[in-house]
Amino acid sequence: MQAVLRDVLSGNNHDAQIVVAQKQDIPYKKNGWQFTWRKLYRVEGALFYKIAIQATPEIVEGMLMLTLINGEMLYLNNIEVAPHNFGSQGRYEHVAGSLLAFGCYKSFELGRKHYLGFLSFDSKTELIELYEKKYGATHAVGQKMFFDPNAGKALMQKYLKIELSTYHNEAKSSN
Amino acid sequence: MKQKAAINTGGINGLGEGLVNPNSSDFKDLQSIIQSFAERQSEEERLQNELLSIRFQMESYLAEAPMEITRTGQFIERFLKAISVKKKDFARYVNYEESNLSALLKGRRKVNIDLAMKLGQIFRLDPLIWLQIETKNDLLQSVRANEAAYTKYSLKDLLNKAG
Repeated sequence: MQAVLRDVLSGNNHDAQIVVAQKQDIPYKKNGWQFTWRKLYRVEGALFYKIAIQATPEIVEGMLMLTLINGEMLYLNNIEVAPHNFGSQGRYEHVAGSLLAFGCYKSFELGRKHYLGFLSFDSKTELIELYEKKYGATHAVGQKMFFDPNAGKALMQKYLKIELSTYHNEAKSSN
Repeated sequence: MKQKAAINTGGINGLGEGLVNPNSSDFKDLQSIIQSFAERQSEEERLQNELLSIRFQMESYLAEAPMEITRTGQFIERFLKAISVKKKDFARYVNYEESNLSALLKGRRKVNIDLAMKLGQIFRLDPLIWLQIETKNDLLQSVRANEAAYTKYSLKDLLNKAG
């Protein structure tokens, strides 16, 4: 999946790819990552994706972990932007947004029944409001949040290089 | 250019854990809330999302390494199921012999350019994706059946023998 990351200093946009992370891509905590991705990688059945600039595919800009619960409900377990992208000295913008948008894309692909297009996740308490306002997520209960299909589509259109027009949109516009 | 005060806010989220407890009361509440959201969708929205889902399944099938081969016919069946159109009605609409459609759905025939164009129009998909999936499946089958026969080829070997 293609996305675009913005270099904060230069303001330039860079094409990026979100792809399945291979074992050699999984980051180490000793390199400044906050989550224990190497340990998480051992979770059976979980899906791991990385985002990288196309010109530098070996540099992981952010990581995403998803699991499909009961074959129908997609859960975003963890998301983390690379240490060099975090905070006031961070290099690229839109890393988190792109990964969240990709998680929503996968929720359409893998979600079933009531959960098609819904991406659920646990939020850190202090981030609940931010995820509601900045990304359009809905706060369900406690730390549980989710993106509904419309919020997911909005994120995809904002952060991914994707065309979402469907026969339905066109049928409506031609009437 | 001056940097912004802070970027990537919220760029780390989740609980840092690998497993979700599906028996917790919060999880069950989450399920109920999502179900009630989903039930409020109109039929049109639901259909649109189902069609989008199949399109994304096809795109990901091309982009990722699939564990199993999925035939183009299986994707067509998913579309027909989503829109509740019978196979024979679909065959008639696209000027296809019903027996040919049946062969396609069972993997004995392939999507050709004509059908790819029609499917592209009906489901608003790039026709190329149908042909790319056919090619990918041919390649996957060939690799599984004859991989060893191709491992002897390399640039180094070619240069040595051409030398």
